[in-house]
Amino acid sequence: MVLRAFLFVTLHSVRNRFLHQLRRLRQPRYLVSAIVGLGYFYWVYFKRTFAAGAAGHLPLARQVGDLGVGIISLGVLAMMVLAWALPSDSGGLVFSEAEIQFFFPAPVSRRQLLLYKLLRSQPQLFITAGIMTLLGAVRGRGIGTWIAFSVMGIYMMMVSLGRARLRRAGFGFVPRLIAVLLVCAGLTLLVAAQFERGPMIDTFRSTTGMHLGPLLKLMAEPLHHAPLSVLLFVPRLFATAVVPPEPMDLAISILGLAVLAVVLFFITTRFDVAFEEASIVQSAKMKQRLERRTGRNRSGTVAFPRARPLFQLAETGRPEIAILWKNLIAVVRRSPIRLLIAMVFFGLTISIVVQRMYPNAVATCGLIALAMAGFFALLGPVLLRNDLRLDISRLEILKSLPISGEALIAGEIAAPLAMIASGEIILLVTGVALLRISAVALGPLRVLLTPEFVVTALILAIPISAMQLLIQNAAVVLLPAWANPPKEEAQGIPATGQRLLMLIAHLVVLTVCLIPPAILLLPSVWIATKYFGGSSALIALAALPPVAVLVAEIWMAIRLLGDQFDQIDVSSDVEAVG
Amino acid sequence: MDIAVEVHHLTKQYGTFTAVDDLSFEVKKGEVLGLVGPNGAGKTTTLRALAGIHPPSDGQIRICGYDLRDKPVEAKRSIAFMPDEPRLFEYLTVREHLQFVGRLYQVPGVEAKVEPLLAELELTDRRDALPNELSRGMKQKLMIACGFLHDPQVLVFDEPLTGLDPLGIRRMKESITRRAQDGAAVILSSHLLHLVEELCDTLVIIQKGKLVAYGTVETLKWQIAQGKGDVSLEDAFLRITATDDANAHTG
Repeated sequence: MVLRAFLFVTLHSVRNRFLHQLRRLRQPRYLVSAIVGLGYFYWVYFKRTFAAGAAGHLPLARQVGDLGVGIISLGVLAMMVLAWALPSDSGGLVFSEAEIQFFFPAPVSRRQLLLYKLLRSQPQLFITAGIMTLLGAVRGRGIGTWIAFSVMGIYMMMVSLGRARLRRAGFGFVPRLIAVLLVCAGLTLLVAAQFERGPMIDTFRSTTGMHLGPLLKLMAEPLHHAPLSVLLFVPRLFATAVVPPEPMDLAISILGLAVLAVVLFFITTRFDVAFEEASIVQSAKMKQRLERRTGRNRSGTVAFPRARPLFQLAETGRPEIAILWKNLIAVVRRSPIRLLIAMVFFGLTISIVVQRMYPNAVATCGLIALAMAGFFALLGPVLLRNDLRLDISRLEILKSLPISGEALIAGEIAAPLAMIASGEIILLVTGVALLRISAVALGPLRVLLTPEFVVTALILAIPISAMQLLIQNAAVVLLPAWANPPKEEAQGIPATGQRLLMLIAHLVVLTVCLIPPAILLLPSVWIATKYFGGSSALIALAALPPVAVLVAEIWMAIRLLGDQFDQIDVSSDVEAVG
Repeated sequence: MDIAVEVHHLTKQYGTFTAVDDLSFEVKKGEVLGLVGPNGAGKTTTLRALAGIHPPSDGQIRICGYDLRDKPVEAKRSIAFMPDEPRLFEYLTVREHLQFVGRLYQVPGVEAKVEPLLAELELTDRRDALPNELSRGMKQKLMIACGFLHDPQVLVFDEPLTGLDPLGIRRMKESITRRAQDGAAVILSSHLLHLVEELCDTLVIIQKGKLVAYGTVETLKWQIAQGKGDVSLEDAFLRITATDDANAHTG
């Protein structure tokens, strides 16, 4: 009876979600984004896949063959072992809030709850397996992938409860981690020894011009010898189900996985672990993570709660300054980890490239700083979101404040713009200073060493960044539902289409905004050359008229967006009616 | 001028759905008006329209003489809206919330006001806490403190007692009464009819977005009783909202 109820919930949830998404297509915004999303998936995946098939390429399974199965088996083995080293040892399984509310107080046994958890994950696994099958362009393999994922889900459930059971037995995270690391080290040595003993290395050393097929087979040979073959027996069942070399392999692996599923589920139900309380905690954490990821909670984590404001807010004065003050506090208290990672990654990449071209370390650093200045001007407005995008879930509060839309928009973009401007000044001045110190010969690029270059770069970069920030914030004002989709709408084909449309719109609007200044640049350069030819201030002077046009555009955009914000109806959803 | 809030023919539509339909009422300075109605009657929509969050589809709202559509900033400067669900800035402390609001509402001498307000709402010990370090009730109190900071002439509460403990409820009732006595116009929406009966002078009952009764609490009760003894506000409310047809009771 309970199983029937579980089945009912699962099937009806899937059906209702599908119907809801289908009904939404009556709204043009969802229909358009769904068409764009479908088009994207078609071009990126299907067209390429079918084109590859038509061109006579062998399917993935055939290409990778036995070696592929072997490598995947090793990966599965690693995953199965490393799962025991995860820090969480509460035994908490993730349930939705509704599931906790309805099932936990209901007369449902733990075994039945585990069964439900397994059942509930099936639609998602089925879809994932289907997509993977299409990507691999191998028909008929989806069933194997689906079963492999399902059985792996049972295994992970068992490990989760197993970790909690070990903690009760006195084995905490550290002993578990040490044990797993030792097992991993042992396995690595075993694999290395087996490959060293095998014929592969010698073959590589002696054979040239060998055909790919026999070579791959030869490489997979060590995986078939004991003791590695014994250790890989279970992982191989998973791997063969996902990429079966032959239909018979698929049938055998499915049979094996079915038996394994029964055994694993039996073991899982035998663990005497109360997971309910831990599940509630785990589910709350998952909800917070989801909210952050899907934009319902843009505030992110407050990493430094005691960090002081960058300046003291006076009691009276322009209200825009209050918005700037608030958003700068958000910057200092929220963790800018993503930005730092992106910048470090970019810096490292550039430094490796530049180091080869310019062995002079100081000059290299100078060039890196200049490159990062360019990077920051273009991507800063996308990365620094401490503006209206941060307050998107609080638009109602902002609407109730006594501040005009124009002042609000200006105040909102002020904080990221101030950060971008500060970053630009630091990077440009540092870059030019380092290049001057290094006395490196830059040839025609020696213009980079002049203060005029720094000034020109700043007067160009800051308005362009401001315009980009306005475009990003315009999305919040004009399409709040797209900029802040509910959790269930943040994924899927329409959501992909929406993101794609937003990106295209951003690029188109930016291009259109840059056309008038660009047109003005040519006569400006001509006039500046005519009257200030030979002066080092030439480039800065030539840049002034286009920048003036850009600033005028920004001013107009702030006014327009402000008016739009004043008229915006932040809750057009009927559900909001109270 | 005695009228603090004027609502004329307020209509709010979401697509084809009419959430509020041709609603009109007034609130005088020092008056406490209760906005009641069944779930989905359009109470929250009305309050949000008053706060300038939802632009009306039709009709006019004037706050202290300022048309909310033409002079939104001036109108909003006179009003404080306390929603039922406190939405705070996760990265600002309690004290910083008050500083921020003080600057936006141009409150002179805000520093001198903050401490008494924190004491009144029992937040003194939590002045440096972030919202995620506060309980639901404390968040509600912070929201209310932000509303009280600029001594608004119009106070709009949506379920003001949600999440408050018994002492908090008593203090909140005292605060509302005191501010009304000081001349503020108060509009509150609540399902707690005993609270409405205790605090409100006037009542607006809406159902399916339409006004079904408007008058003083005593007048409405008397009309329902029709001279046959006394009825409670609960009885009056249930009888008024029992029929779908909006035969307006106005007194």
